[in-house]
Formats: sequence, C-alpha cells, structure tokens
Amino acid sequence: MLKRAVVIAVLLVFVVVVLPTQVGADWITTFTSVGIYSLVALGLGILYGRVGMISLGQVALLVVGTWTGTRLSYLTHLPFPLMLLATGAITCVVGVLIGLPALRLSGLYLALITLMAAGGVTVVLTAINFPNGGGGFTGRSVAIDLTNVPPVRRPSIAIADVAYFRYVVVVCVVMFLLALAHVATKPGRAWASIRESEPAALAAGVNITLYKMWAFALSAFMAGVAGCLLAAQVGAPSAQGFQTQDSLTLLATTLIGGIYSLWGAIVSGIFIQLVPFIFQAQWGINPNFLLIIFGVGILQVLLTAPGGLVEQVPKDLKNLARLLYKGVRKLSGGRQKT
Amino acid sequence: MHSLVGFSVFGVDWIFLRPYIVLGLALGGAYALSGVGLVVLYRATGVLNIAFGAVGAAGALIAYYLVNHTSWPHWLAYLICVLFGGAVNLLYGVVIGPAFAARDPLVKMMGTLGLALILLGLMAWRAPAGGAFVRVLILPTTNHRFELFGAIVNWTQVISLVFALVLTAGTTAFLRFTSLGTAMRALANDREISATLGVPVRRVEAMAWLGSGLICGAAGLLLADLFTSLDYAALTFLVISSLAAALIGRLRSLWVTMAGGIAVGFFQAVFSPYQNISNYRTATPFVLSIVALLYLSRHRVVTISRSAH
Amino acid sequence: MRSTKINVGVALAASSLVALMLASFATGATRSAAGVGSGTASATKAICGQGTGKKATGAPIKLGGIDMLIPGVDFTTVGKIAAAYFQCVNDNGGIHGRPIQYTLYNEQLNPAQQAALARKLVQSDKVVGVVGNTSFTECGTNWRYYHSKGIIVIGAGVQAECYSTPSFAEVNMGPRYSNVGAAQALIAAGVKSIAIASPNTISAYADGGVAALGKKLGIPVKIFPTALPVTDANSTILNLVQAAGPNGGVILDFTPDTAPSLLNAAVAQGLVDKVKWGSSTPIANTFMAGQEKAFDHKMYINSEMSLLTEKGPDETLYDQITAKYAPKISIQSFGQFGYLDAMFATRALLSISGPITLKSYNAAVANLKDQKTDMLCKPWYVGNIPFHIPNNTDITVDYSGGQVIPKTGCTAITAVDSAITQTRKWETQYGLNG
Repeated sequence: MLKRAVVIAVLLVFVVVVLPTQVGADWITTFTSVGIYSLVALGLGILYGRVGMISLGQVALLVVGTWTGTRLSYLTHLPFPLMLLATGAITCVVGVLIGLPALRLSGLYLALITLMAAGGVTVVLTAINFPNGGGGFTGRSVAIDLTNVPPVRRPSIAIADVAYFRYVVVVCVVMFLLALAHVATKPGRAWASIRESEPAALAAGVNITLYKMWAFALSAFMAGVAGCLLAAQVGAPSAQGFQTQDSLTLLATTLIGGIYSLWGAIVSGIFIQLVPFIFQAQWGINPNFLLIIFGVGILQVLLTAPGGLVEQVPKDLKNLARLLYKGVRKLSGGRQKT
Repeated sequence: MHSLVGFSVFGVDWIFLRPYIVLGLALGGAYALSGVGLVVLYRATGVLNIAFGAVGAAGALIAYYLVNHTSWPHWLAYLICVLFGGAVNLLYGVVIGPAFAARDPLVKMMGTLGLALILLGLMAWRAPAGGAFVRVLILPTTNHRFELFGAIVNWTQVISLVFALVLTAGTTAFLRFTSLGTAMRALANDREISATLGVPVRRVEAMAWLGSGLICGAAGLLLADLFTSLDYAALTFLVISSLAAALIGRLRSLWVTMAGGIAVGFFQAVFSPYQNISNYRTATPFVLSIVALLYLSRHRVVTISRSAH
Repeated sequence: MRSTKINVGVALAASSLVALMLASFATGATRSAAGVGSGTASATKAICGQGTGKKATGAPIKLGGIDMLIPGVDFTTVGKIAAAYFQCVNDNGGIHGRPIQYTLYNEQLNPAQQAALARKLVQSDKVVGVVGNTSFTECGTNWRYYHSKGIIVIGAGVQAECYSTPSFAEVNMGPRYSNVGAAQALIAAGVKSIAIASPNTISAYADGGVAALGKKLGIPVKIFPTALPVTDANSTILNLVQAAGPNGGVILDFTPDTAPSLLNAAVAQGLVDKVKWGSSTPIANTFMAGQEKAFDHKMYINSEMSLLTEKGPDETLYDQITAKYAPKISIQSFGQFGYLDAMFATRALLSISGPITLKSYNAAVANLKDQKTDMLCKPWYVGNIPFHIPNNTDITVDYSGGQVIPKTGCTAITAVDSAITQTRKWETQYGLNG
C-alpha cells in the first residue's frame, strides 16, 4: 500500500513538475482535456463499476456543467474554486433528477431512460446555446461583435495553459481521492452490496434509495466539476461541441479503460482526448479509424477482458514476462547441456 | 397564414393543423418502423440492437453505390441492401452472438454498440461526405403521391407504415404460432433451459439474426428515403430517437411500440408551426419515452426478463 | 457439422458483401495537364507562384491549416485544394526557389482538440502562417490564441468570430451576409415577407442579418432555428412556406447535407410554386443543380464566389489544379475557397523581401490589398484593421437544366450591421480594394 502511494506520488510529481517542461503547448492542452474527461469517466465508473447502475447521461451532465460554469462565470464574480463547487452542486441536482428513475428501473431500462434524458437535455441546450456574455437566463447575446466579451475565466493563479494544466491535475487528484474515500468507506460497502444483490442489501439494512442517489449525486458532481473546468479551458464553449452520441463513445472508452478500477477512468480520458490527438496530429491517420478501434475495443473488452485495459495490460505484461523468462531459461538451460 | 377558416377546439386551429397531422402520421410511420424493427430483434434474439441504424445505413450506402455507379438494375441494388443487412447481422449473431449468450441484456446491447461504431467508422472512412456533395437514395415509390387533407403523402410513407403493421402482425403471429417462433421466444427468455428442452439453439438463433438483419436492411432502405438524405451518421444515431417508440412499448408490445412511434411523429410534426416550441420539437421522442417509462414504472420495479447480473 | 458448413458459407457470403461495401465510392478522372500554372500571368491566364515550371528545392517554408471533419460533414476540401495549389506553386519555382510545406489537420468540433491543434501548428510545427481553415466553431475557439501570436488566418468562415475579430481574413462572407444577399434578391423580386431557416446552433448569427434587413425595409421576417439532422423535412418545409405566406419568400441556409431533403420535401408537398426560394452559398453547385431540377429558374441563391462555369483565369487554373493534383475532389465552392486561400497566402509569401518568419509572413498578409481575382466581385484585401469582411459584394445564381446560371450581377450586401458600414469606410479610407 505504501509502495503504491509512493509510486503514485512520484508519478504525480512527474506529471505536474517535469512533464510541462518536456512537451509543447499542444500536448499540455491535450493532457488538460484528458484530466477533465477522466473525471467524467470516473463518475460513470463509480455508477456502473461500483453500484452496477448504468447511466448514459454522463455527457449530458458534462454539458450541463459546462453551461452552468459558463453562465456563472458571466453572472457572478465568484472565485474559481467556489464557481467549481457551485457548478458541481447545480449539476448534482440535475444528475439526481436524471438518476431518480434508477430507484425503479435497472439494467437496460435504466441505460435507455438516461440516454433519453441525455437526448432531451442536449436538444434543449443546443436550442438555447451557450452563454456568451448576454443577459437573462440563457445569457446569450445576439450581438455579432463579441471581441469585448471576456472568455470564461480561469483561476487567477492559473491563467496560462501550463498553470491551468497543473490546476486541473490537482482538482483531478482531489476528485479521485474523493472517489477513493467513498469506495473505501461505508458508501463503498453499501454500493458493493447493492451491486451484489439488492434484496440482500435491503435485508442487511442498507438504505438503498439513499446510496443509489448518493452515487448519482457524486457522479453528477464530478461531471459538473469537469464541465466547469472544460468551460474555463475552452473559454467560449458552443453547442456544436457536444452531441447525444458522445454518451455512447464515453461508454465505449470507459469500458475499454476498465470500469472496475479508478485508474480505468484515466485510460478512458486518454482514449477520448489523447489518442485522437496522437492519431491525427502526430501520425496523420484518418480519425474515423478511431471509431472502428472503439468498436472492436468494446467487443474485446466485453467478451474477454471485463476489467478493461487497466486489468488486462498488467496481466498481459506478466504473461509476456513469464514467457520471456521461460524462453530465456530454456535457452540458457539448453546451452548448459552442451 | 391562417388562410383557412379557423376551426378552433381547445384553442387549437385544427383545420390549420390538418396537414401537419397527416405529415406527422407519415413521419410516425418511420419511427414506428424502426421501433418495431428494434422490438422484433429484441424479442427474437434478446438483444437490443443499437447497430440497427448503422446496418441499415451501410446497406443503403451499398444500394446507393450500385444504383449510381453500376448499370445493375435498381431492384437488385435494393435486394442487396436487404441481404447485406441479413448477412451482417447473421455474421454477428453466429460469430459473436454466442459469446454474449449468457450475459445480461445491457451487455448484449453494448456489444451491438461495438458493431455500430465499427460500421460507422468503415462508412465514414470509405465514403466520406460533405462539401458540395450529398447522397440521396430515393425509392421509385416516393415519386407516386396522393393528397390527403391538404398534405401530400407518398407511397414510400404508406409502405413503411404498412410494413410496420405487417411486421407487427406477422411477428406477433410468427412468434406465437410457429414452432420456430416459439423456440425464439423461449431462447430470448432463457437460453439454457431451452437448450435442455431440446431447442436447436444455434440454428434458431442464426435464423433470428438472419430474419432481424433482413428487417434492418429493408428498414435502412426505407429510412434513408424517409428521414434525411443518405446521411449515414444521422441514420446511425437516429436509432436513439427511434428507441423511444420501442421504450414506449417497453421492448415487449409490438402494437404499443407501433402506436408509440406514430405518437412521436404526430407530436413532432404538430409542434413545428409554433415558433416558440418549434426549436424544441426534436426532443419529442425523448420526452415521450421518459414520460411513458416513468408512468409504467410508477408502481413497481421494472426488470427485464430474467437478468440477475 | 452441417451447421458449421452453413456458417462458413454464410460467413463467406457476408464477408463478400462487406468487401463490396469497402469498394471505393470515390470516382475521379485522372486527366493530366502538363505545365499547369506555368508561364507568365496575363489578363487571361493565371499562374502558380512564379510560374517557372521548375521544381522548388530549397529549405521548405512551413504553412498549416485546420479543417473540420465530422461524420457527415467534410470541410477538408478547402485545405486539400489549398494543398493542391501549393503543390502547383512548388512545381513552378516555389517561393524564390523554396517549396511550401503545408500541413493540414482535421478536427471533430471538440474545442480542446481545436485549441491543441492550433498550438501544435504554431508552437510544435513552427509554421509561419495558418491558411485554409474552415469549421463551424474553430474561429471562436482559437481567435484569441491566434491574436496573441500575431497571426491572421486566411480561410473561409462560418461563425461570428470569423468576421468580428482581428484574427481572420476570410475569402467568403459567411452565412449571415450570404443570407442577407439572398433576402435582398428575393425582396427585389417582389417578395412581401420572409421565412428563414438555419441550423439552430448558428441561427442567431446567421439569420440575424435578414431580420435586421426586414426591420429596415418593413418586411416581416420569421426565423425558424432548425435542429440537425432534419428528421421531419415535410412538416418543416410546409411550416416555412405557410409562415412566408402568399407573395412570400423562404430562405434555406443549409449545406448540401441537409438542403436536398428540404427541397425534395417541397417538391413532394407541391409547394415549389407557392413562394420564392432563396438560399445561402453552399448549394450553388452543379451537383445540387442536377439533383433539384424542379427548382429550375426558381432559386435565388446568393453566391459568395463567381460561377464555377465562368472560365476566367483563376477559375480555369482552379479547374486545372484540381484535375492534376486533387482529381478525386469535385469542382465546388469549397474548392474555390481553398484555391483563393492558398493563392493569397502565396502572394503574401512572394511579397516578403527579407527572411520568411511568422512575423514577416503575417505582416505581409496584413499588407495584402487590392488583390484582383475573377472569383470575386471586388478585389480582396486584409489590411491593418480590427476585423475583416473583405468579401461583401456578390452575385445571385439560379438552377437551369442541371447547371448553375447567373441571376443578378455583383450586388453590394446591404449594410445591415455597423460592421459592414465600417468596413466600407475603411475600404475607401485605406484604398483597400481599388
């Protein structure tokens, strides 16, 4: 456990201190997005991996968070951390509303009703579009000269891209610790028992309603925080950046990353943001290939590696090491004979 | 624009709305068709096929290619579209389907999401769209029209409505009265027990996938004509709105699904002349399905078949 | 055993069908045109760069661009034709012997990705200039970044930020002014009221100009933001026609991905002759004219570029370059955008006397003025001004027998915005376009 903590700490120091000095602004921007999307995936991972409840509404919640963060930025002068919390809280309310049906629905139905809710939310947000410094509820101005409208504000200590990247990493660490704290304590145990069997959990005195809603609230809070971070990263978000089907892509990458491990969320973020960047900006590959890879990836994960890449890769590496070791021993053994 | 004499009931000018109602019912036919298609697949294979739209779109794309770039007769192109749907689904059902057999319906659905993404990726890679260029696949029946209450309806719309009806009635009868249908129902319900009872599992499943795939192909052909131009991305994800009808029918009742699909089309079209809500009318399928599901689940926990895990 | 055999057979049949699907959809002639863009420029002949006919061999000059590519809409045509133009320049002596190395990225409307790609171009690839950008949202995401680096992007725009910030000089005028152009043409043709539909994500900007024009002239304008993809084309179009009313005009502001379903619905509902039909630029091409023959002599399509069939020197060279360097891409207005983007960038490069750097290139871009081309009504320019709308006078076209034909000649877009008034003031004040 201690060893693990040390490894993680070293890794973090590397990411926060060393990494920004080694790569360009394009990579830093991309890594920032990886962090943001891993929070969304983390929320989905908690719901599905821990409680066994599926929600296809996470991207819609991210959009709600982005919208709310943008609106708050223009409406208030809240310091950034408070804006982050407020956005999280508002998104939380929406998330719990979307999650309410989970008290009565499960499995496929829950997946579909949350997908429908996401579709509805996306239609409404596309129709009213994102705030751009105007007044009223929607905060949308029809003025065509927007050069004087400031972008969504970033924290005063993290205006530049690199500083903002570090800020996002810190927020991510806090969120992952929050998730860990939940998983390791009473809510985590309650969720595990709900996942195993609801009747048994009920019999054991677990307040199913409370803990289910808690999970939805937590995952929505994370999506909301991610949305606010995204709004500040982008500066001027717009409705075209989000589509209902993004929920399906998120599900795909979260499954591929690994639904049962918190690390899987990071892998998912990498798949959504970093891999497309590497694919087409570094290697010049048609981005539509990614869709094919995601498709094959889902099938592979569902069929052979339910734990996703985070579980499978170490296993594969171990097997590879064992093979190599055997091979080397055989070879060296063979030599000894002669 | 209320050039007609108003006939107002509940504050709504019904005469003004008449053509929208007709067009809404015709549009509802498209939703009903895809909804019924989804439920038929679900009842026969136990799989909610998210790739429904993608398979149909890929088939339609092939038909488009054959119609526009070869001298093959058009009927053959349409036939190949339908067969393509059958072939892809059969391939999926035979190669990958059994591996999912013991999993719960949610996992099965996610498996088809994989298929949908693969097909979409292939289409976007091989047949890029955009710029000055658009693919339109218009069936010959679309050019034959008649007038109904101030709106004009074409035969493709009629055909899809009839097709949905025939599918509904035919599938209901097939599942109930034929031994293969009974076997499919048994399989979709519980694979293990059916196998123990002597149902030739693999063969029945293959038949179900083949049949459902043919429906995918036919629906793809009709939907490419009814909904948009042959925009495969839109067609692939239209499955999300089409799911609404299936959900209203709780993935079980074909007749309710049919009615649900028509209701979705009806409301969407009827909202369109009202400037305030017109922009939100594409939310109709989502809102209707949520309302229906919440209403249906108001008393008890709804679960799907036997899924324990 | 038997079932296995069946399965193998089925698998084979299915795979052959899949293979059929993979068969190439793209068709294109491979005409070769030797010496494209070589020789001396004249009133009847355009050339690539210096027109020497010799391959450039020196140290490459790096340029780059970002185009939107999402399933269903592909704007990379702009960048690809720009790349083809640069290839032609490289085959004709390059920029004083140095070839242009053009990097084109595509983006999927993900703002973080757009930001990353702009930074990659400028900071990692170290391009001296950004050329050929077209996207629904990239202007809004990146204008501040480009501005902070002193970059002026030569591209083709869609949203407000492309025309209201210092960072872009677009060769087109965008949907807002193109719609105004269509509305002007309709009003000139006697239309008494207008209904206009744009995709809901751009409606406020794209339709706002027509609303302002209507207010100015006392003509009622109804706006219908439309969600994409259009699933209920029939009721959408019926609604538009009824909203426009008798003696009305309907303006459709959609790309060829969406417009055909609406136009076809109008035909199906028997509405073609109930109103006059206007449109913004994207459907002004032969392909659409061939698709929509029912609208022959009934369209008022604003065209930001000259007719593709009018063979002026630039139009001719554009055809030749496309045939030689990008034969798979059809002739279209997006191709014209790419051609002009690359042509103006090349002229900027050729005007630099000292070392070619990010600073000197963008200064040269800002100095571009009075750039004549037969593809535009008036000379194009950039200038040291806070925003650029250099394309603000254009033509109206129509369909006829599968061809696009002229309807009205060059007409100035009505100054519905103070931005246009200001632009014209600058034009005379600084002598930007002759």
